[in-house]
Amino acid sequence: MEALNALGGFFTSIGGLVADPINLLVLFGAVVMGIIFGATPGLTATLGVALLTTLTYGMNQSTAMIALLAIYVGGVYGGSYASILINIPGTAAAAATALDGYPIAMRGEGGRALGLTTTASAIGTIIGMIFVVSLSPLISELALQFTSFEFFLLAFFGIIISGTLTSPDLVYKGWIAGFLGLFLAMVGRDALQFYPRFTFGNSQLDGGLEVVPVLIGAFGIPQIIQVLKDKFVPKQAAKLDRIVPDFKTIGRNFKHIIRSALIGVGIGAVPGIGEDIAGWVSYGTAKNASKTPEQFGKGSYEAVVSTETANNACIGGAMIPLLSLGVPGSPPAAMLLGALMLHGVAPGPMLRIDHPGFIGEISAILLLASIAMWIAGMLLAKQVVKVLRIPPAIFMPIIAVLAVIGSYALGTKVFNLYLMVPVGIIAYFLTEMGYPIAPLVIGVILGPMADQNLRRGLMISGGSFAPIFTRPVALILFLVIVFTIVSQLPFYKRWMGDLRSRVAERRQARSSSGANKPE
Amino acid sequence: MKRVFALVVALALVAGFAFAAAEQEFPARDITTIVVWGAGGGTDTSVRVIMGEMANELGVPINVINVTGGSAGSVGMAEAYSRDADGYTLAGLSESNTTTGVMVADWDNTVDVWDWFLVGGSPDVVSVTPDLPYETIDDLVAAAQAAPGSIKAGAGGAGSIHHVNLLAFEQGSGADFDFIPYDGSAPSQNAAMTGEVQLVVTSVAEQAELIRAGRLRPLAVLVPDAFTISGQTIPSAFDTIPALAEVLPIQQAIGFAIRADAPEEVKAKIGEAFEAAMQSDTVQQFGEERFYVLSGAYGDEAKEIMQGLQSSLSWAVWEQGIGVDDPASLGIPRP
Amino acid sequence: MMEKKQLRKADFVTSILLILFGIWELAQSFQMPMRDTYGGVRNVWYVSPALMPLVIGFGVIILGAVLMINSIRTGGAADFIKSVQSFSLKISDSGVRFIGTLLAIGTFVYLLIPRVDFFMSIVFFLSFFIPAFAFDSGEDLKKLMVFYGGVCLIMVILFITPAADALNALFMFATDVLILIATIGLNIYAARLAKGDDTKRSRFRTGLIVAIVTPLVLTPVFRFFLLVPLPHEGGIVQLMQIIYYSLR
Repeated sequence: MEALNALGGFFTSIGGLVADPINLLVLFGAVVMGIIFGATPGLTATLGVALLTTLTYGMNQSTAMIALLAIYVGGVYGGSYASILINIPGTAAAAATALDGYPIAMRGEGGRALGLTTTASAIGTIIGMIFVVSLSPLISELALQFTSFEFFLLAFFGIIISGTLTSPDLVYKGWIAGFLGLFLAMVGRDALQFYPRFTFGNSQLDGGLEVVPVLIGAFGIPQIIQVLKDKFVPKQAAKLDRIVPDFKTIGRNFKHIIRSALIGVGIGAVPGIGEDIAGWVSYGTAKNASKTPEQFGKGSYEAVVSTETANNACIGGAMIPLLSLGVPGSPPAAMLLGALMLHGVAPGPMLRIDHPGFIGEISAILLLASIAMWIAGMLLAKQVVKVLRIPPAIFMPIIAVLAVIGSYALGTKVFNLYLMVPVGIIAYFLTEMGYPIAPLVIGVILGPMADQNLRRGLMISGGSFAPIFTRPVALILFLVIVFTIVSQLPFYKRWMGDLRSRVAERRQARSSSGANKPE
Repeated sequence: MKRVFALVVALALVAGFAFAAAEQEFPARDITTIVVWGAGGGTDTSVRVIMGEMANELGVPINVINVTGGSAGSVGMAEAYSRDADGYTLAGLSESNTTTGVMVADWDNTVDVWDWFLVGGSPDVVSVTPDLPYETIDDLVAAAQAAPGSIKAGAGGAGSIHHVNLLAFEQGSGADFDFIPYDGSAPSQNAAMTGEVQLVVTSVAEQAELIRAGRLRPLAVLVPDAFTISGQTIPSAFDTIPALAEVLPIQQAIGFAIRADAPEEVKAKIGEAFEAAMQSDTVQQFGEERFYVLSGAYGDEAKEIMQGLQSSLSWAVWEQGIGVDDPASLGIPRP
Repeated sequence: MMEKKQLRKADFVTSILLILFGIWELAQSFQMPMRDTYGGVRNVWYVSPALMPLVIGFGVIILGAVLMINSIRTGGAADFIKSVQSFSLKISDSGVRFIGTLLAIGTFVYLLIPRVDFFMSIVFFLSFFIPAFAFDSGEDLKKLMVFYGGVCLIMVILFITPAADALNALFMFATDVLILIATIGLNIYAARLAKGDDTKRSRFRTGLIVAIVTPLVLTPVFRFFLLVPLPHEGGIVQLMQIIYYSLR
């Protein structure tokens, strides 16, 4: 019944919104701005929504919502540009995309990759939106099953994934990078007892390290140094390949798209974590499920499609607890919460009663935003690929300037820049020595969540781990983690290989025997 | 090319002259308000609303930015304080910023370095998970007294206003709870909804939607007067536990501040605009919808309120052992 | 990435650093509160803020040890000791480029951005960074590094002594004007280096345009459209402000 109401509101809203040319102008303007934001290293969807909140104060409520959601969708999608083309993730959400997107671009297939991610992102956003309309009450109940232990297990799962992002050199170098990332996450006053850890009495460090400067430092600076130092020239595409969606590849990766979208919605719906983690979890899961996991990290289309679908599907997911519980599901959604309140809408369980049709309107805007994103993406991607033709000696200094401004703009703190450079130099040496950087960034993102929730969970249970086995969601997460670890172990791989070949043998035997005996 | 440089130099010189003539009546340019708490939070939304109205009064745009980090908002506060005392930079602050002196080694100022303009705040409310048997605040206190430390109470981290309220409530009522700290109000409310903790202390504004939907059962507000939200009256805890009056209320105070050494005429201009903005329909309606008790205090009145909060919060933080500077050394009297 | 043999050699050094880091980290962690009430919470070992840091410390030490054993077994350690004995201070061409990149980014972040007008700091930074690598010549890179490094050194001296404050008090935006002069000097120097070489000259021209256009776009977008206060708003940004207010 409720879903029907929402659906009704959804269709009337689309009609109403499209009828106003100003809305369409704002829609496309904000989407393009979002894409630029996402594509610029350091400028994130969160910052875009925050800055636009100020600018939309004077607009009416629906126009403001169009602007904010459109920049959110565009920002999450735009991150993939920088990841794929220059190996510097524009946003933390797109960091996982860089692992495979950049090798693809190096093969000269950057245009094709962008075309694919555009379509995958649009599909992801739309699937997320469908969940907002149809299952929002159900999913928000599920989000309420998350207590400290579940949050801890979720964070732990994300960290375990860094084990699957193996180093090009020794396997355990990934773990070392992960531990270093976790250490960086420990800096600052701890959230439970306010004890200053590793702050050396510097009050700037009290609040902990922010993710964006660490991300830009860890990915951006090594890339700039490497390109300039080694006079690196990316391979040119023989001819500009078509950006137009390659529906065959989309079709082939359909199961990855669906799975990643579900992961994205699920992670978005859990309060407090968002796109950045969705991308990694989806990457890890896709690798585990793939028939060709050895291609991951070397330019696999499956990987790129999976991460980009998931981080965009996360938007819809994040809207669910925001709208039905008043709890933002991701950092940009937290900004949206503030913006909604400024416009006199208090999201929460009473929203359905106070503002019937609002959820339908939000879904309608999400749909329009994803369509606008797709159109803008298709038009932009072809132009954006051309940046690869700019000589690196001119391009990289500009990227350096953008990265610096990006790291500064979110907190408007010069201290973040002071931090970014040493992190970047250490990351450069680590990269040179064959350490993967991704686990370090995952550690920084998930460290505080793992630390806080483990300790809080133990505090509540009095030091017992029993809740992991008695709470259903915790148990499921625990089993997923165990499976992920086991599937990495050599004996399991051997066993599965055995099994597969045996099944194949039997099938072959049967088909050959079948051929001999016609019916 | 050399011509370009000549042009730049010439422009710079012109600019130099223009500055000399730039002494104009306040406000001649955009005003920037630095909110020291994250975007979307209580302080941020309130400050944005009041700034929106004040911009109309003053006739110049007011930009609101967030500079977070440090402890007790120290980074943003230091940033705002480092700007010129010309009224073009304001700081969006809340009661928690009164503890910055104690919490942070390199900020040794008290609330007196600011002139405060208080928008208001929302009273704190004690709520429990709805499927628990406690119907009144007395049930809860009795249960806590019967088995000290058995009831888990969630609130923001140590030193947050809600934690200090919880401590004062324990002190006044003689109940003993097991305090579980959370990273902000929203997560602690979530935990109370899931039953991870049995009781939560946050503000009415933050809980309003959950109370209205029956996800949390409010027992009492920690202010002397009962509070009504959409027809549901929450009694005051003071009614049945008179001893609370000695330690409470410690009320939220959200607003903004200007450096105390700013010119008097600038402060007066801002004060006028503030007063008009507080009377505007938008702000009044915002207060009503968000369950705020609007204040509108500024000048000496506001300073007194903030000094009171500074005493109770700073000493509470110091007694929790998480401060760095002794409040006595900063000249903060005991509450 | 380095070659396998080089990697094993580097592993030996990193493993030592990692183990030292782990020990330091553990030492710090053991000083964190592990019992008694802290921050209003009854402390037990599993609640202590030291819990995760301890796990991390032990993890780093164990993995560091594994790395060291592997390096010793594969002969990386022996290689390292050999290379220490035949140590020489010769910097390769790519080493110079590495230092050049660090010089540019380091001065930009630590010296220019916090203290010099936002617009001017970007122009100055790009005026060095683009020609230094676009000329694609080791000699030119070294010369430009000396020039740029010299100017930065002067600026550092100015800023650590009270000289900069005194200058700025004497004449408005004195440091910004100094950087402006230095930028012009740097560009004239680069133009002379490019003399007689057509590719270099065209690259110099592109570089100069980029160096001016980039901040010319970025500064107004951030300052006036996105309303982000800039780290240091000196002469040019204030000039832009005057133009902005007179246009509005």
